Amino acid sequence: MTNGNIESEVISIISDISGFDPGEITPETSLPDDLEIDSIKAIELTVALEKRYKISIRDSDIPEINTVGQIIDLTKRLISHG
Amino acid sequence: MQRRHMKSRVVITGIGVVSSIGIGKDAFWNSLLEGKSGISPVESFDTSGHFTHMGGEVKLFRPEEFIPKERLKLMNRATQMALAATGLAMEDSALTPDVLSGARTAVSHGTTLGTVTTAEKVNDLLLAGEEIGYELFYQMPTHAASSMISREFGFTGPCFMFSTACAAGNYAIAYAYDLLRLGRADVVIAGASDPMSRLEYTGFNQFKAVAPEICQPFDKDRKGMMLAEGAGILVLESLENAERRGADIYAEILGYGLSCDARHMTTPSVEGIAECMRKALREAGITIEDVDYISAHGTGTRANDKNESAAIKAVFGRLTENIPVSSIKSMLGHTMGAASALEAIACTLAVKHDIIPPTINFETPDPECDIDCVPNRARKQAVNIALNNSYAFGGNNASLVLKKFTE
Amino acid sequence: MTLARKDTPGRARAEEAGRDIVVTGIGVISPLGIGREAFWKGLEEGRSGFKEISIFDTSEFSVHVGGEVSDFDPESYIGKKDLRILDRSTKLVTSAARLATDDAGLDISDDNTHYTGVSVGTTFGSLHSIAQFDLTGLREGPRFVNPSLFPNTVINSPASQVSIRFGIKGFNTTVSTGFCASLDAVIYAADFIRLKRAEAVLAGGVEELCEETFRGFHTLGFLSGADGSPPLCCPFDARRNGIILSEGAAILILESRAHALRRGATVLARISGYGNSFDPAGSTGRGLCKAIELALGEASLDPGEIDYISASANSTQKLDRMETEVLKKVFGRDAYTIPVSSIKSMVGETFSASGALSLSAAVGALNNGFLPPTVNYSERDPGCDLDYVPNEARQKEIRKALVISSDPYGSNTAVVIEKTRR
Repeated sequence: MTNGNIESEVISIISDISGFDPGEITPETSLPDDLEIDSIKAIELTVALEKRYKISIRDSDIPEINTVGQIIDLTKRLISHG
Repeated sequence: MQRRHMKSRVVITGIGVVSSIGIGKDAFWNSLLEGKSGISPVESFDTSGHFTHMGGEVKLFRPEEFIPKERLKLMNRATQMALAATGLAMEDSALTPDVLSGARTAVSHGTTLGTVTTAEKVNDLLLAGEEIGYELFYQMPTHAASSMISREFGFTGPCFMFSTACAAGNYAIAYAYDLLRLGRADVVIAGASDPMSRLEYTGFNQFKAVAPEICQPFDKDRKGMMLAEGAGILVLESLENAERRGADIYAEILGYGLSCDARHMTTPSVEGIAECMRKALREAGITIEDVDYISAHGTGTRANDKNESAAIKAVFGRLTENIPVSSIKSMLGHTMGAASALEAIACTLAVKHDIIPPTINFETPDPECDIDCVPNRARKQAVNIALNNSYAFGGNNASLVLKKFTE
Repeated sequence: MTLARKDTPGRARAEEAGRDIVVTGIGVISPLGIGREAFWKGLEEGRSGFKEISIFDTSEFSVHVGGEVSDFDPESYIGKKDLRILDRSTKLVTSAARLATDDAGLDISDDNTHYTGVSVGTTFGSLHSIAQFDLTGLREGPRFVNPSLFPNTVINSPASQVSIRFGIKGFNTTVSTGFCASLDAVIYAADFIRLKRAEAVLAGGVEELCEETFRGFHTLGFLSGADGSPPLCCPFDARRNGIILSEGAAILILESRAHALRRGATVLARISGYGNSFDPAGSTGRGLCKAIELALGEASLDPGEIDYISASANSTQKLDRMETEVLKKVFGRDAYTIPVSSIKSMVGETFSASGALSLSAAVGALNNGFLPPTVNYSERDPGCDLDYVPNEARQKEIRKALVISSDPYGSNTAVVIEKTRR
């Protein structure tokens, strides 16, 4: 799949979980500050991404992630390594 | 015409325990003082798909020693443990049927998971395409444990079940205290019970909140809680009743406080739990100077222990450094609704014997948990008043005040 | 030495009239309608809340009818935030809470939040969440369950969401005593006000319709129509053969009279007495007799002073008969002249929510001067020969009403409400 697809899909998943419109979500958007994604929703997000892309997100990856862009990059990286 | 009753003092006259560190009050208390751990590899369900594999199962519990076999099939594990603990508590308080004859005996019980393990069994049968017998549905309602206690022992007073999750035990003891003070019962069997549950194991594992090997409340490197099971029952009576029948008295309940965070379903709020402690002290008619020991909720998660320590400091200020705060969850794991009942029992015995149970597995102090957690060894110290904290999902908080009994 | 003591009527009270417990608002989400006016109107018109179940697949069962709440749009009551992870029980009870606080004109703020509480009766809420969470773990593996759904698996999550959404901090309690759960939650709330721990409490109950609960009642042989005949909810009628399972939520705003007066609230009723008693042998009636006697005793009323009894009869052979015999025992000859009806004939069996719905109906009876009927009544059972207000509501001035709940495990609860001057 193309990188553009991954980006829009990940944004769509984040939109479902946060309740915010995809149009309001950009790579600069902060997950905890702008989208009210707390620790539980963050885990929900990683589980959703793991299911969708058959990747494995380590616990140590999670605290590093703050923005939508970072999560998209992490997902792309794990897909290409897988 | 209304009768005005003087509010009775409420005392504890019996204790019954089913736990991973001992069955019966003496075994339980001795294990607490030795700092014994009840944690072992989980056997009651398959943990191979989970991140962790340890828990606090009660492996030495033989339900058939307490309940006739033909009635066991209508009871789930929580109910079985609750009944066993009740039998032990009744024996401990010398409450024989003729002593209780004519008395209004109530039951006030708590649980987190009373219905869950039965729902799990139903799911297993559904997935296997097997028939589901009526016995499973009979034991499914959450109030099975409380109701079976009243049924098995023939009690006719009020019978309440509180499902306020990890604070349920304290809620149940609290309401028992109210029933006695309102003159609605003469004796109340108060406590809580909870089984090991794969659903619960899954949920907390998904929260990444479960420690892999040991539970280390307040430790800098604590990795989370430990799932466990158990049942704790206390016999509560008015002081007049206890004295009239010459019962041995363990301790007195002075009061309690409830509060609701009203903010987040799972992370405790420092403000909410501080307010809960203050309410408990206010109702008990005591000040922060009077508290000699705090039995913490102390689950061993990063968030709880940090927030609870901050709340204790907010309430007790500079006195914090002189108040021992220990968590017996370090030994038992988190027995869910039963936890605050078992912790109330620990507080009862602490004020009776002037010994404080330790927080075991403590290695490295955490500056964010700046409290004296009674590390690793029980401590002989005068305990006049103990405060028992419990915080549940939904921000349902309860703090109970227990006091050394004096005439 | 025994602990026996002479049974005394009345009980300890913290204060006198200032601590009187009054009802100042009601919110109802029911198969008969949403909102207390629609609910009371539905009762007065004797309408039926039963329909073909649409919220889950009933093809494995021989019964397909239930009291499903329809035209329910939770977003209009509680907003959109996090709605997608809330379960049905939570949506029902938070919406009922919204309606109740609006009805009472009660705003929660920093000034009153620490003296306001929540007390909700639910026994399964929500069993559906529990079962589905476990199934997902079994089918997909424990590492793929959605952690955001885990909080829904605790029975106290519906009540807690009421506090979270309305900012209520005084206390939050969930009572899970089956058929008695919501009356017990109301009693708990009244005690808190009496003991001066709260001035106002949102008290009531909720239970949702779901395949898991349906399967349970179906297997236990409780449901009418399990033999393939058309399901029929006809309390006290000779043809009665089981319940029609239903769902709903009702929240009553309970306040101390002093607090209600201070803020100029409209008082709908006064809770003047209540009682609990357990029957270790199950449903012999002894426990229910005792509970009613305790409630009347606390209210300082003779049985004959009651104008209306809201029964918990649910179209089963045993319970309807047992209640009839209990009423005869407690009320003597007055049992034949005091009207007694079961709103379950219209609303169905809502399990934990039933007491709160019956209490809400009784408040309606007091305020609007009508007796809710027992509908679907046509064949007389000689063992059930009281005035059940058959089929049509009746205009009558009602000043004192008794509401009762009975649970097959053994719990029994009774509450007395009275019309009161402001």
